[in-house]
Amino acid sequence: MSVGLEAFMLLAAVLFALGLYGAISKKSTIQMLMSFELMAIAISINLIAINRWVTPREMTGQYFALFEMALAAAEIAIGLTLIVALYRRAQSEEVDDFTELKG
Amino acid sequence: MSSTMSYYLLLIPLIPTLVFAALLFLPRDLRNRLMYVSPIAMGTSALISIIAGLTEFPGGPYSILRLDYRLATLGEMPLNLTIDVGPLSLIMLVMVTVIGTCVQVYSLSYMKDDERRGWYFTVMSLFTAAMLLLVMSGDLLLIFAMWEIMGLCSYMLIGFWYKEKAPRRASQKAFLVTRAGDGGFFVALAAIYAACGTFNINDILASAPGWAPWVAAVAALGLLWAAMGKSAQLPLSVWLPDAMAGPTPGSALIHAATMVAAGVFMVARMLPLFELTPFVLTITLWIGVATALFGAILACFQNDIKKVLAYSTISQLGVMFVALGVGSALAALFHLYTHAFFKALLFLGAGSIIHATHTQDTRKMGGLAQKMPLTTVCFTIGAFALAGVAPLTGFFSKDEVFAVIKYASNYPALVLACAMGVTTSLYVTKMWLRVFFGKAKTPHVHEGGILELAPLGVLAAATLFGGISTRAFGDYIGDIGVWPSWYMATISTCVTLAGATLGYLAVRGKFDRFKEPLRFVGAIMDNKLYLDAFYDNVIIKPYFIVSDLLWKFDEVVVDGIVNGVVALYRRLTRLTWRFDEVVVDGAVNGTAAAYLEVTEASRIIDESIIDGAVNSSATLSQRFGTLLRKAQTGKLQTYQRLAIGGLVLVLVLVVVLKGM
Repeated sequence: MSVGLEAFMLLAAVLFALGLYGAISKKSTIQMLMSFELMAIAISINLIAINRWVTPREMTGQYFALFEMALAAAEIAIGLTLIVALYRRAQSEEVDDFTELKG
Repeated sequence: MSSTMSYYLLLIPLIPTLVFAALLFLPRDLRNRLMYVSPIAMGTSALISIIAGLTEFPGGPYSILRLDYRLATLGEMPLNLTIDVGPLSLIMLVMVTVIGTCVQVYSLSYMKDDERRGWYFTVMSLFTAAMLLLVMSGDLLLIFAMWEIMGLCSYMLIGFWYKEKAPRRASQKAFLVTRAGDGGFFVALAAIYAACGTFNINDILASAPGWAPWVAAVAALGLLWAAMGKSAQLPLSVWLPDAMAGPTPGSALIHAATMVAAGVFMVARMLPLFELTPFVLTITLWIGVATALFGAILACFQNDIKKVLAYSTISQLGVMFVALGVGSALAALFHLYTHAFFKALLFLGAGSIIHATHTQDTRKMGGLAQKMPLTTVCFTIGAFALAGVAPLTGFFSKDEVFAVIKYASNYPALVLACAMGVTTSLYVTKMWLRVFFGKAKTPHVHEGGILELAPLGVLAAATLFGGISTRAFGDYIGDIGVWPSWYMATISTCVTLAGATLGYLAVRGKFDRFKEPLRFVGAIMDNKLYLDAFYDNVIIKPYFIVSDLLWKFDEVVVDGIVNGVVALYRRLTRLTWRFDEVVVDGAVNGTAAAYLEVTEASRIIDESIIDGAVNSSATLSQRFGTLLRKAQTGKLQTYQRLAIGGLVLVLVLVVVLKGM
C-alpha cells in the first residue's frame, strides 16, 4: 500500500487523541503542557498533509504550519513561566493543589 | 393799529406769574427778603401795558392778539383756551397793572414788619396775574379758571392774619359766598356749551341770537348770579364788608382792580347775550339799583373807615350794574375804570390813616389835615371823586351812568340813582369831615414814608386828570356812548351838593333828635339789612338742624341695623361652632379610627403573605445555589473534561441532526 493522505491523517488523529488524553488525565502541569504540544503537532501534520494532497500547487498549509510552530513555541514559553510562578507560590506543580476556584 | 400779532403782551400776565412761581417754593426768610421782586415785576408789567396801550391809540373794536391753545378734543369739537386782546383788554391791563404796582409799592412799607410779608407778595402776584389773564382771555373757560384763582387768592388775602378768629371766618365766608355764585357760572357754561359747543366769546355772541330763548335766559341768569357773587351785589354782598379783616392794601386790590371788577367785566363782555333776554337785563338793572342805594345807605351808618369804604364799593358796583342793566357796557366799564383808581386811592389813604392813628373808628379820629397834609390832599381827591365832584373822574363816570339811564328813559331808576348820589355824597362828607377836621384826638400822628406817599400821588393824579379821557375812553374801546350833557351835569352837581349839605348837618349833630324815633332804622342798618341773620336762619341753621337729624338717623337706624347684624352673626357663629364640634369632629374622628383598623389589617397581610413570599423565594434560590456549587470543583481537569464533553455532545448533535 502506498503512503497516502489517510495515513498522515490517521497518524495525526492518534497523536491528537494521545495529547487530549494526557491533557485531561495527567496531574502534573508539565505533563499537561507536553500533551498540549502533541495536540498542536497533530494539527500541523494535518495542515501539511492536506495541503500536499488536496491543493499541491499552493503553499498555504505549509506557511500555516510554520506559523503554528512559532505560536506553539511562544505558548510553551508562557506556559512554563506561569508554572514556575505557580510553583513559587504553592511549592507544587500538581494541578490538584490549585483549587481556589472551588465553588 | 398794528397788523402783526403783539406777542409781547403775553409778558404782562407772565411776569407776575413767574414771580409767584419763584417765590412759592422759597423758604420764608428768603421769600421775605425777596419781596421787592414782586412790585418791580408788577411795575415792568405796568410799563409794558402802558406802552402797548399808547401804541394802539386811538383804539377801536378789533383784536391785536389772538391765540388758541387746544386743551383737548371732545369728540369732534376742539376745546380751546383763547387769548383775545383788544383795546378794551389793554385799558383793563393798564388799570390793573398800574393799581397793582401802586398797591404793591405801598405794601412794601405797610407790611414791612409782618413775619409773612413774603407770602403776602406771593399771593398778590398770583392775584394780579389771574386778573390780567382774565381780562385778556377770549373764552369763558379761561375766564372761569382765572375767576376761581382769584377766589382762592381773595381767600388767602382776607384770611392773611389767620391766627385771629375774625379774618378766618371772613375768608371762609367770602370763599363760600363767591362759590355759591360760581354755581351759576357752571350752569351758564353748561347751557352755553349745549347750545353752541364752544366757549369762545366771539363765537358765542355770534351764535346766541339763534338759540332757544330759554337757553339764552338760563345762560344769562347763571352768569348774572356768578357776577353778583363776585361783585358783591345784593343778596350776595355779605362777604365784602367782612373781607375788611384782611390787610388794607389787599383790600385795595380786591375792591379796586381785581376781584370785584371781574364780575362787572365779565357781564360787560357778555352783554349782547343779556340783551337777547330783556327780562334778565331788567333784573340786572334793579339788582344794581337796590345794591347801589342800600350800599350807600348802609355806608352812612358805619363808623369804621374801612367799613364805610367797603359799603361804598358795594354801592358803586351797584352803579355799574345799573349801567349794564340799561345795556351800556361802556358806562359800566368807564365807571369800573375810574372807580378802580379812586377806590384804590381811598383804601391806601385809609391804610395810612389807620397806621398813623392806630384806630379804624372815624369818631376817634380828627384834625388829621394839619398832621398829614399830603395824605389829606390825596384822600380828599379820592373822596371827592367818589362823591362825584367836578372835574374829578368820578364825576364824569357817574354822569355817564346817569346819562345812559336817562337815555333808556327809565325815570324810576334815575330817581333812585339820584337818591344814591345824595346818600353817597352824604356819607363821604361825613367821613371826610370827621377824619380831617375838628380837634385831634390821637397823639403822635405823622405822614407815611415815601413808599406810601408815592403810590397815593400817582393814583391821585390819575383821579384828578382822568376826566379828560372821558371821550377818548369810548373811542378807544370802540363803543359809541351817550355822553352827558350840561343838563345832566347840573343835576348831578346839585345832587352832590345836597348830599354834602346833609353830611355837614349830620356831623354837626343836627339830625340827632331824629335818632330816637328812627331807632328801628338804625337797628336795621346796624344789622346790615338782616342779610347775615337771614343767611344764618335760612341756610346755616337749617343746615345744622338737618345735619343733626341725619346724625340721629345714623345713630338710631343705621347703628341699630349694624348692631342687629352683629348679634345675628354671633348667634350664627355659635351655631356653626356646635355643628363643627359634633358633626364635623365626629366624622373626622370616625374616619381616623377606621383608617387605623384598615392599617392594622394591611400590616398583617403584609407580614404574612408578602414577607412569606419573599422569604420562601429567597430560600428556594439558596437551595438551588448550594446545588450548583457542587459543580464548581476548582480542578482544572474537571473543567477540561466538561468542555470536551460539551464539544463531543455538540458534534454528536450536529451529526445526528444533519445526518452527516
